[in-house]
Amino acid sequence: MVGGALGDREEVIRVEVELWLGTEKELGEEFQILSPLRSKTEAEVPEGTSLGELLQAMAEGNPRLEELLFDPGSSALKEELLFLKNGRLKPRSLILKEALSQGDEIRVVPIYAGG
Amino acid sequence: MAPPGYLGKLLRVDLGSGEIWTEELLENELRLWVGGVALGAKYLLEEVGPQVSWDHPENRLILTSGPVAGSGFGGAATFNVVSKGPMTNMAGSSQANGFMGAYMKFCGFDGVIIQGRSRRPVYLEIKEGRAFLKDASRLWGLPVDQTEEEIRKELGAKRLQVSVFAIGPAGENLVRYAAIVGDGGHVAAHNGLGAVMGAKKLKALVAHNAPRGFSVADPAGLKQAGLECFSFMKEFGPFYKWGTGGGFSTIYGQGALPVRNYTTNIFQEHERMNGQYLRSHFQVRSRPCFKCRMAHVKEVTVTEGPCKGFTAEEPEYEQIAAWGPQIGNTDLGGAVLLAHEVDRLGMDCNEASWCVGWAMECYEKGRLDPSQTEGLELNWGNVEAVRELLARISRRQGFLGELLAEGVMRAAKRLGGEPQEWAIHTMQGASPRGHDHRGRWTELFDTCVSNTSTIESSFGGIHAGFVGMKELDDPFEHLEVARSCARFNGIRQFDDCVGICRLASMHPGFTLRAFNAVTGWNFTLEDAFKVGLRAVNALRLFNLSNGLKIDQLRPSQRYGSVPKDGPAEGRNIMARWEEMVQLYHEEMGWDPSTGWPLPNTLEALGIRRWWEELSGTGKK
Repeated sequence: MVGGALGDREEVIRVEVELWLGTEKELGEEFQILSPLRSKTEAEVPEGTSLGELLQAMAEGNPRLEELLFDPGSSALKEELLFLKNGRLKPRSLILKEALSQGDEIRVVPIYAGG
Repeated sequence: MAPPGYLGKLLRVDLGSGEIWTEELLENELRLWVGGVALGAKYLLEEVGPQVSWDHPENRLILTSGPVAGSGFGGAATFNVVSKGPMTNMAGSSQANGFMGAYMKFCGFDGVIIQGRSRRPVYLEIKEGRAFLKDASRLWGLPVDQTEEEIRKELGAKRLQVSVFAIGPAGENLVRYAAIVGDGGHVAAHNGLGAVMGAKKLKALVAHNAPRGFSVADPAGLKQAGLECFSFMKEFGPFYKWGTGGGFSTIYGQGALPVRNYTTNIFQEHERMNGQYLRSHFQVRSRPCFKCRMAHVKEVTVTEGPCKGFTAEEPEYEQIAAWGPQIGNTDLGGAVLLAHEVDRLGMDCNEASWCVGWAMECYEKGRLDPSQTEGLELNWGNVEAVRELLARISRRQGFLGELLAEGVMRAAKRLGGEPQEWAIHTMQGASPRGHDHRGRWTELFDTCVSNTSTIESSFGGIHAGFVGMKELDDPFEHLEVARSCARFNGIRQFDDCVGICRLASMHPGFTLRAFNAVTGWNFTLEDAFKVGLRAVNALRLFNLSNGLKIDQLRPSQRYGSVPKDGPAEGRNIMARWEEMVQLYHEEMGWDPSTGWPLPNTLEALGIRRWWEELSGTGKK
């Protein structure tokens, strides 16, 4: 279960979060290193939890994750990040607010424009 | 006296008569046009009429540096090339890094404009305020790397003593997407500007290194901006540690990696082809551009696979995309090999890969038979066959070499039938960069409505925070994509005016600080946007007066198709295309239905005179 900050909702669901943000030990043991780029963790959260709430909870007590995901000194997720649910790109405002479902696979990717 | 950052001189060369002269660049003009693409756009519009085709002697090849180039700001040695190009027979603008943008100024010139056609192959050498046309007959036919080596030998110059940009066999044989390549693999790639050089029988441009010959208004401010910019760029994105290939997997993760000519978005092998893998497994050595501490340019030796032991310049992201997933190849060493080949033959890797990927799809689906490929087995991933095909294209050899030398739009039309639907291009005839833009709509739209023959607004909306704008909430919201491209337009063209490599200064704030420190002009961000918009509007006027029609502002069928899998599965940009173009024109201050810049728009940019001139001559 991720954090107590998500309240006392009764039903629990399991989701997977994959970060494409570079692999670092500082992210913590709960993250499985998949490659030099990707790391993954699973989270159990109360039903009705949104992705925005989940990421906020995950970053609590994890300064490196907070640094990677949030604007400094702010609760706002960085604008340079894209969020995919179950392999599909979705509008940011929608994906961060809508409730997660059992088995959802989340991917966090930085916006990249070079080439 | 020239303002700080400038020499105040333009070199003029007529290859037909052999005449060489200089022209003064006045400060009031420089404040309007700055350098690079904007200065090039001005001269193109003023001097190349609609009756002049891309290969006509009266076409101009306009090579311009910028005020920051050569100032000592890290990586500032970029030059810009503007001409009428063969892919679109409209404007083309492209940049290359390395050393030329700095050395050109050290030789005494802010830019070089070349006109006419030589009777025999020549190269242009500039040195100490003078210019010389030299016989290049013995160099004709050589690939670019050998040309560079031979010229250095002839001049008795070591690598950093001269900058050499040349064409290879592709430019000589007027391959429509021939590029100008130099300084060990830097490329001005778009719209076949190498073919323009080939048509003029100009093999190379050579500039000597020399002590700096221009002043800087605020050296301490420039130094501080450089230090802060470097600190920022070291932490920004993957570039410093992993090069542009460091974004390869990230682009895959967004659904924007081109795979097998857009037939799928699935490429499981992406982590064996990205910059992280390359720099962790292959041997790399830095080969930085002029004064660049980012040093993202490397030389690489392949350490595994069929190409083990091969050494060449490290491929940039677009080369890996071109010679990896786009042609169905999963061997990174093979991509290094093909990237090197396409550079030395002197071709744009993007268009070359759209051509090759299309030919492979045709071959796999039985639409090109072995007699047409003359023995080449163009199955997905056949690196050796692709290597041979690239050589044939550069020589226009055989049925397929000749066909593909025309670019994929013309090749598909000539082959006819269903394969016409598989070609990836804009309807202007230009080549998209090396992505699957169906997963990155801002760039797809920008590429199609652009006037430069490649991205213009550049990154439309991405990193919008740099200029105080918001990132797109939904990357697939049609009208927001169009609006974002319009509102962002200008600032990246300003980048292409000042002579700084975008990978040395991704943030317009640092670019502007460097520009102001060099010139002392104290431009605001709004001023910078205006300079870029002058270039955009001048090029739009040029293209319209050269026959651009609004129905050309769209993608080909495959380029604008709906992805069948991946992060952008089912997304259909064409559903509201006409609305997008109309909104874009409105936001740009152009006539929504014709795309002509409105008089008030030009007035606000201080270039209304062209409205009057074009109206008066009947071009409009």
